Amino acid sequence: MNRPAAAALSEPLKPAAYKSDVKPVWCPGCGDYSVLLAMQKAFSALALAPEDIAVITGIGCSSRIASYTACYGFHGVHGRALAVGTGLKVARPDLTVLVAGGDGDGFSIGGNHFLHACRRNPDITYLVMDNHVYGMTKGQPSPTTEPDWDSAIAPGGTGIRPFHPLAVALASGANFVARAFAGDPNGAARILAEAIAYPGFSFVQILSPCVTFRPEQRGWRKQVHPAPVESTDDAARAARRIMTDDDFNIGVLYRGDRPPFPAASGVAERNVDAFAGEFET
Amino acid sequence: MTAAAPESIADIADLLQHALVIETEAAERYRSLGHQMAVHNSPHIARIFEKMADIEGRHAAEIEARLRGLSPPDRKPWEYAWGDAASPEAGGDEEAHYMMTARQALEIVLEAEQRAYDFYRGLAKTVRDREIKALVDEFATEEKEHVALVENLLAKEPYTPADWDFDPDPPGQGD
Amino acid sequence: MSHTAEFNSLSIAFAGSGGAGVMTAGTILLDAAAASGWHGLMTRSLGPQIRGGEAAALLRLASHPVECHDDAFDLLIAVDWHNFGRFAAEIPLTADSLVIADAGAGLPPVEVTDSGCRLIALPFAELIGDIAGGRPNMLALGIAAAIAGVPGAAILTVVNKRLGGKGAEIVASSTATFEAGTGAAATLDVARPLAAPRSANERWLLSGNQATAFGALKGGVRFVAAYPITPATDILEWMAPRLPPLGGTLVQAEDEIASVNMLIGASFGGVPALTATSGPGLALMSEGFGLAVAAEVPLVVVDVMRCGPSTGIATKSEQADLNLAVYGLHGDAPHLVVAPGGIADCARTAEWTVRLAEHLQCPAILLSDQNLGQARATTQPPDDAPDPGPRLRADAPVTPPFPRYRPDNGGISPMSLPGQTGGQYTGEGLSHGETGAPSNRADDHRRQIDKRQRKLETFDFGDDWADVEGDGALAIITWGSTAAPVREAIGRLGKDGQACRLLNLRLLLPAQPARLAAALDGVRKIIVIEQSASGQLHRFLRAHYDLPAPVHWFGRPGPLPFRPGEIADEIRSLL
Repeated sequence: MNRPAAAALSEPLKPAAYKSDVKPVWCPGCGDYSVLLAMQKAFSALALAPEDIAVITGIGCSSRIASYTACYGFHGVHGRALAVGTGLKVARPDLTVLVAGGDGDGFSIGGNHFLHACRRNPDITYLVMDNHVYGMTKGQPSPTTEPDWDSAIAPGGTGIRPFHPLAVALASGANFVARAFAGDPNGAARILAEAIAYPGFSFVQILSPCVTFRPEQRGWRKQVHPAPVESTDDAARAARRIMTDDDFNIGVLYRGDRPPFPAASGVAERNVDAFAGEFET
Repeated sequence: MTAAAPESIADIADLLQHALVIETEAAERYRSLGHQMAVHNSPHIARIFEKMADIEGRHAAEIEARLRGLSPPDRKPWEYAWGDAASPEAGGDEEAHYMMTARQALEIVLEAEQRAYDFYRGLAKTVRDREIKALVDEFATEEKEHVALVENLLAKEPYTPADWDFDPDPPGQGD
Repeated sequence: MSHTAEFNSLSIAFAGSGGAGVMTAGTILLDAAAASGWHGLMTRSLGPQIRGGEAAALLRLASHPVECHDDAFDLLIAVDWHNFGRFAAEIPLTADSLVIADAGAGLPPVEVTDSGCRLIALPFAELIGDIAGGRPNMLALGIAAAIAGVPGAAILTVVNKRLGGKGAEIVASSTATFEAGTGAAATLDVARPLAAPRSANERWLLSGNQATAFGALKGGVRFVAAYPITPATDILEWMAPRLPPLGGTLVQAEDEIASVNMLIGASFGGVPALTATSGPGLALMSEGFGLAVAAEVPLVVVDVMRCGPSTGIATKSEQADLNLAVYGLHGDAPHLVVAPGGIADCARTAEWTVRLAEHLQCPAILLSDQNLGQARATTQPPDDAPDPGPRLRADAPVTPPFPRYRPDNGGISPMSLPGQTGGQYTGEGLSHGETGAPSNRADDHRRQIDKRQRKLETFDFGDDWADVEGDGALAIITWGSTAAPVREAIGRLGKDGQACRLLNLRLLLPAQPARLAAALDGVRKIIVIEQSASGQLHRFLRAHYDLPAPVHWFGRPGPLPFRPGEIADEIRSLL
């Protein structure tokens, strides 16, 4: 029998209550400001107590978001936030665990953990602020960067086919798969609130422009559009849809029904000394 | 994701909570932009946003006072009746820049105030109830005054030079 | 049988391959001897094949407690000689050794005949005769039990317990074949009877890995992340079914990096956490371990050391991960390194390490080794480890911003846990101020570095930092599985009137200079003995301690364990 989730607040808090006093150091214009706002709105709408939320991040500009919330946070090392979040949720199922980070952190060094988190399906939410670049290290291609994007480290582009996170999430078993856009914080808040409430591993790719190293992404506003059809609970149908995705469909792609990865019960039925009997001669 | 239609605004309390959201989110947005500019060592621009945040904050407090004792219908953030237009208080932040001029900062504010005004003007055309319409007109007038205020401030600012974003230093190191 | 002199210690090896079942024979013999009051231990040597490989069960039975192998084997029973050369070096034989082999196995290899041992060939197939399903390992077991004087009744009790689940026919044929073996031994002049056991104290029979796992649970571990690696997998597999009844759980991770980070998550949430790995896995965990240091998150990584470098020899022991454990983190990252000093000690030391990590809010590496981990031995039931107290919690009510990393109180700051109102903070790998907010400031960085160092340096670890035994101007410093043969060597020298002092280090980091100085007071010569080619312990001692006397170093890499005789010889050569 699992520990019950922490109770919702009887009186919801305003979104501002979920923001800490630490002033973000993100560049003015960064999409992550809107992502933070979307998170605040989602937490508020779900009436969660800030102390019952843990935001777990890796390394990168977007991973700084943990310090900017008034919740518990953990700012770990590059690419490993999903492991930290999984360990926390399995040990403390009463908490709401939100893992967050960027596309480099999540899909390059973190790729293996991403795959297995989808497989394992713990009841956590994973939010990736995707700007198709390594911003913190000043502009290298990430796994979601276009193959012909010129950079100092890969002149002329990598020539490598970009990673498609929604397809990988779907194929690996994530229970909830969606894409949002930072330029619409209300829409993103809605998707995020549903992702958090949805059981199992909820993956949300949120397009979040980097105005410093990818200034052309200011044009994303004109390219995003609502997905033409509603989400499906049929993985095969979702798979067909994702294979013709133009990378700018906004909405929920897939809502599955896999049971979440079991957590610790936290309730002892035996004492450790009971095991001593196994060793007695 | 389209928001609810403006026609769905049910009563005075509902309108007031829409107005409150416009003011509160504007205040928080300008406060955030003020902090961003302070963190990025542009105190003059920071002060512009701080001043705007204070003004919006005062308006928000007034609307909050009017809401006391009333029970507006429950709306989640994405359920507000902004219609097909982008929500008045959202978006446009990608135009912010750590080296932006006062003119550019005021242009951001102007654009937001204009959208708020457009929302009330659009609402005034469709709302039936007289009492609600009176309040809508009141808010529209106020936003028009904000727009005028910002246009006046803009008129005092020099035009943004062509090399406004030239920074001889390369970007800094990260984690 | 005419041989009447009794043996206080008898070393028996069973060798065979391809399903011969020598491991089962050895295990049954040890179980029966233990149940009859004797002490003993068993280790295994295996070829690289998953199944059907060459195998040797190596036992030592004794009337007194033993924690290591003797210098040579008194008895070797070989079902066959396939690939025996691979572990011949681990089964030293002398002219006093007795080797009984299946006549059908052909000539024994030169490593056996060169020893000058007494060789007896028995026709195993004929002895098994027409016992349906009779297996040669049970024949070998019967021969060994008769030679050692382990009562048949005790053996058959174990046979029923261990093989009963496979059906009455198997038990019957095993019993019959066993008795054919004892009958065959009776016709030969081969008895090597064990002397009666000296004490009837309560004893346990377990492996070092089982002891480590049990100790960890006793210490409060309730979350384990697991990635399989030889020779640590036993620990994880023992814990997996035993955690849920305690309210805990084990998660199999996708790799060692995920393991250590999962531990951080669980521990950040307040649940004591542990994993077990070996050298290659510990290397992968370095970055995550350092994060736990910086964020002050308790956790324990057990490293059951094996031969390195790189993939090395997975199934054999070595003591060459000390450098990695002590120096393997980037930055100045003070942490705990603890090593059990024997098979029984694995339980108490594991419990102690978990409690230390929790109290000091610091990650710990527990350096066990394959010799300890995969040896099964009779031991005294372990005592409780000292308990420095649980992790310091922030008392409610807590007002934000919570100073999670406040540097007073000797460096240990109260911890809030997720769910605790007002206690919110972000655990940080970045250099931070006292609330956890990232900081590049020189004073913050310095303050936190000093805090993390101070909390370890000012803590009183007590007498468990090392076993300090005996007097004498000659001191032997060692650690881990090497302690047992050293102790036995010192015992032999003591009988010859030569007193030696033993320093078996348990706490490696943080170093304890005052305690070591006191332990070595009056010493005029030091011998450092370790299973490391580059002398990792020796260099560690030189780096962290002033050694008050000249040092002689006696070491080598794995895979062969130290034996008491060679250590005694080495010490004598220096006198």
